[in-house]
Amino acid sequence: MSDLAVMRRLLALARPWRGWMGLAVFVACATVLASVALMGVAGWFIAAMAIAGVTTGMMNYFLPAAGIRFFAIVRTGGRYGERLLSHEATLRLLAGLRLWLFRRLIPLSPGQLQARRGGDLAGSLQADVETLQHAYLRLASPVAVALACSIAVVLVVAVLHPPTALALALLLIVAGGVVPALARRAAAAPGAEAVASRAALRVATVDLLQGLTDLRAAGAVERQLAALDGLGQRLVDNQSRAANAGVMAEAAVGLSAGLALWSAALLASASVAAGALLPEVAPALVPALALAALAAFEAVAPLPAAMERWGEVRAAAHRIFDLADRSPAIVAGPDPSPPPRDASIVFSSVRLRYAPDLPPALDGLDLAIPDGRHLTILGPSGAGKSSLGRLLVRFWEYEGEIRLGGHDLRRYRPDDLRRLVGIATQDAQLFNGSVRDNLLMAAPEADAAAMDQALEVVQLAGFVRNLTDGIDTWIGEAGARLSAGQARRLVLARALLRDPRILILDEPTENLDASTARRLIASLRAATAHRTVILITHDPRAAAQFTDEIVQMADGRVVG
Amino acid sequence: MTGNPADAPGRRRAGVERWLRGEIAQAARSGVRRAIVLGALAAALAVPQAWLLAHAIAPVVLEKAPVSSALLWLLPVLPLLVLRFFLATASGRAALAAAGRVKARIRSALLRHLASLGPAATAGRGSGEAATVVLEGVDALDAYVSRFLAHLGVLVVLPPLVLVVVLPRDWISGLVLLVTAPVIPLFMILLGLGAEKLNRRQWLRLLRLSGRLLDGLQRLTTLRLLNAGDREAERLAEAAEDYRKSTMAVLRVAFLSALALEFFATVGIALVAVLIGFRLLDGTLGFEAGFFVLLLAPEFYAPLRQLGLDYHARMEALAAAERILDLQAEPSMPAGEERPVLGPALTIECEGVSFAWEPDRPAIRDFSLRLVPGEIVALVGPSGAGKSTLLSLLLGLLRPQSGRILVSGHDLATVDPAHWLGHVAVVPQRPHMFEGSVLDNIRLGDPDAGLDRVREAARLAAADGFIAALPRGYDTPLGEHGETLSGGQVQRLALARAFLKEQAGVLLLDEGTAGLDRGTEAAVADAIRRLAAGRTTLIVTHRLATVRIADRVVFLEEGRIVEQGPRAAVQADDGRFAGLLRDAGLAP
Repeated sequence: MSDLAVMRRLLALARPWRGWMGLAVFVACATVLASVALMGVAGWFIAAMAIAGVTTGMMNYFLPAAGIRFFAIVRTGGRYGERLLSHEATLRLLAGLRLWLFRRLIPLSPGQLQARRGGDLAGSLQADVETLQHAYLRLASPVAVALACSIAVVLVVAVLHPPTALALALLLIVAGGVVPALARRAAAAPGAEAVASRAALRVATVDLLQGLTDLRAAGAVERQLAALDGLGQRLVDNQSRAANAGVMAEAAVGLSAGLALWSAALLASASVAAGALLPEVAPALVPALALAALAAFEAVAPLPAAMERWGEVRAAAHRIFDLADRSPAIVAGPDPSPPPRDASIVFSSVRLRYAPDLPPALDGLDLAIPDGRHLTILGPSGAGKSSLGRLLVRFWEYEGEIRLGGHDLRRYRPDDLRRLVGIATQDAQLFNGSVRDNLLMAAPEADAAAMDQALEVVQLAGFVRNLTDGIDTWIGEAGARLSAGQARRLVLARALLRDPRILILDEPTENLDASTARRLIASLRAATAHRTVILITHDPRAAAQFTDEIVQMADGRVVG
Repeated sequence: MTGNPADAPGRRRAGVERWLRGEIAQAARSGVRRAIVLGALAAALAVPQAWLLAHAIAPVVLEKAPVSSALLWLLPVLPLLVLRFFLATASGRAALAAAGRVKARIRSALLRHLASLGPAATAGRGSGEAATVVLEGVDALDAYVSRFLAHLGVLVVLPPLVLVVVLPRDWISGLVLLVTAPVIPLFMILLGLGAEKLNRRQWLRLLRLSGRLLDGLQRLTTLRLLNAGDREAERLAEAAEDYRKSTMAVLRVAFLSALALEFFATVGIALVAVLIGFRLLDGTLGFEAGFFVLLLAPEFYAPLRQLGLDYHARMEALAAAERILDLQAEPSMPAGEERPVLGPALTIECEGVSFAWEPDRPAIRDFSLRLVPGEIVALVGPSGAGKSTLLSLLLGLLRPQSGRILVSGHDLATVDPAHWLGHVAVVPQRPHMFEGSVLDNIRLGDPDAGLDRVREAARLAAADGFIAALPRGYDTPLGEHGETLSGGQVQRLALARAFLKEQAGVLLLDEGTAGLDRGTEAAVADAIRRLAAGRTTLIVTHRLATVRIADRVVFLEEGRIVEQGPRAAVQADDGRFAGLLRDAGLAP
């Protein structure tokens, strides 16, 4: 994507808020123009008063004095209004952007969001959204204001004195266009270096913290610290070199403003002496033009800093568009789901590969599970046990045929399938909220009795009753206040509460002591009597207690 | 309680700023001074520049003098402008260089402190969070030096200088400037204090809102599984809307300080202009002087307006400094200094050792155990029994709160930790793979070890097979951006590390719970037996295969030994052994 295309898409994204943003830019322009007018009128006013003082002694000073007051008020109020409006626009935009991205990502998960292996997708997305949010406040708005105000000031000055307008226009282009562009170019290489050294420093810091025991045992702490010092030095050196370009640009804008003042004074003076201006107003115009020219640079002063952000914004936009533009691999068709005849499942020659360069997770799986059967799958990790569930809720596309309730699995709408099939997975997560919040997340209509019953089945009812706020107790970030075994059972309760006809239980007894595990399996057995259940476990005791049938899986196949 | 608790954050801020100033003085006193002086000089040039301009324009305005006479005054302005440009650039560069030195110094000290904290450095907080303070936190200090401090010079020099030149020429304008100037910072401080309080609350809200999105993104799969994606989206929208409303309510107040600043600066300039105008009409003031003063009036307020902008940079830097100080305030363990000769045959004795992470939750209670050379002791127990804590105590990473640990008769608390660890081969529960090649990761403790020695160690650790199958063998990159290894593979690399440490008389090994298949399990158990030969060995394990190579088994529960004895004896009572293993979380 070219810079222009990125910019166009960003602006298109911001479209719903263009009213707010336009208003913010308008008020910002009014503020800058009031500032220019204030200086211009003040310059003209004192010169006219001085001329009147030495000549007629007469002067209508009400109008210019009122003008000075007016522009002073506009500038003051405008600055306040502009800041409020631009933040209002940004906050609205922020909310919209987040929601837009979130909605785009839902149908992509989990299959299409795993491309960046090991990377923290959520964290980097979060940072990118924040970068974009600032793009409007600190990049788009200053550029718009600079353009509009520069043109307006140059046009007004051109009416009064064309040569000054020409000089002013040239210097504004230098300060607002050439200088930021040069600064960006100068900062590009060290800026990229700084990003790279920051990444290296982060990795080395995390290495130090997470590998401290290993480093100490190896006597390598000092070596790691020395390496960190080197990386840190490289980072600050590159940061300074990149920022030096900004310092130079800031000073160059100041120099341009000074030159504008100087040129206006010189050119206007020449015109006065040559009699090229109306004799009545001419002399007073000299200080007016000089001061207005100087003040006009308020419009372009933020541009070097704003342009510096463009690289960062573009990179963030690229990453976000790249993700958001992926089309979901699995989409619901137009037809409604067929009514399932029963809760039976048949896998025939099913193959699944998570990525082209990975070995197949399922490799010709044949397995028939009749309605109401309780089946246990045993097998080493990596045998493909957990993949079964992911296919049944249509998280991944597969080869071969799966029939559920007598119909091809692909004929069901994915949402309906997720109502039919409940999964309590190993990697299911809890939400930052209360026990009740977490249960309601699964089944918003569930009443207290249903929740109690689900907790009873998973042997958590007593524990929850004894919490300070009972079911409304906050369980912390990702259930941090629960033990691993409790968290797993809450996930199980959540799946039960949805009352699915088919239930997949992934290692429900892990992290439980033997007696709790026994009780859990017994109550699960009773609670799931009329459902089809697939139990995935390492625990042969639980398998024997729970199921009608046990199959072994290895290398993506049933082996016995 | 003394003092008003509401003052505490403010006082704390002052302490934080004092600390930061001290660090800056240590790292870059001369650089900051140069930045301030050069910046002040650049700003001061505004005065002669205005003087020359006023002299150039006055005759043109009043007498329509020819341009040649104006040019005479205007020409010297050009070198002044250029000089100002160079001075400003040099000041900025000096400030950035000083900021760089300050950041490097503070970051280096922070990392050293974190390294000295040991495992406590990341306990109760992710390493990601600490890394954020090390990187972003330290970077946020930049603006304090490169903007706030560097601009102080201008603030100190320019307004007084303007006053000094304006007052003798036009005392009325001087008085206007003099009266409006102090009102500005006063208002800003008053409004800023209130805004800061609001700001912090808002900052917390923003963090929570960010957390909400992060929460949703991280749990997207679960949300989909529950068909709850749309519900979560609605909640996100509500949260964002709430945040917008509350933030705007705060900003309406917070921006009042900017409004006040702008108001007084603008009114000041307008008042100066109007008052000059009337005295010009009366003839009580010369145009030259009047224009000179009007040119200087914006310069007078400019540093004050800049201060308003820098105020936020300062607040952000101080907030970051506070987080850095929080980390640095965590006490590191006092280290012993003795370096006794421990010899190749080492015994370890725990005598009534107790340790608690939190006062009323003991992790290890009155633990006594003797480890001798040549004997493999397996420590088993359910998760949370205190096994890993015990290992940290033996490594000297933690210190017993009562009782003591003797190594060949020396109290471990008095021994230099680095000296002690020199005698220990360690395989931690989750061995860390560093950014670098497989080769470098194995020879972590001995960077000069040759490939042959590393290969031999890998072979003994049953690791050479899978290393050879990696895309680039021993040169395969590991770590954050490298190859991802399975838990079992990582463990075998850590074993190879331990094999390379031939001189170590002690082996402390935490097997963790990484899932291994049968074949690998047996190979690892074999490797551990080879590694333990002749050493004083303690193995924390969850695997039956490893228990089977032990000479003695110790069962730990809730920080206490519940059973111990030679493996053969414990194993003889079949039912009881099975029960103990089951309680310890091992499948029989």
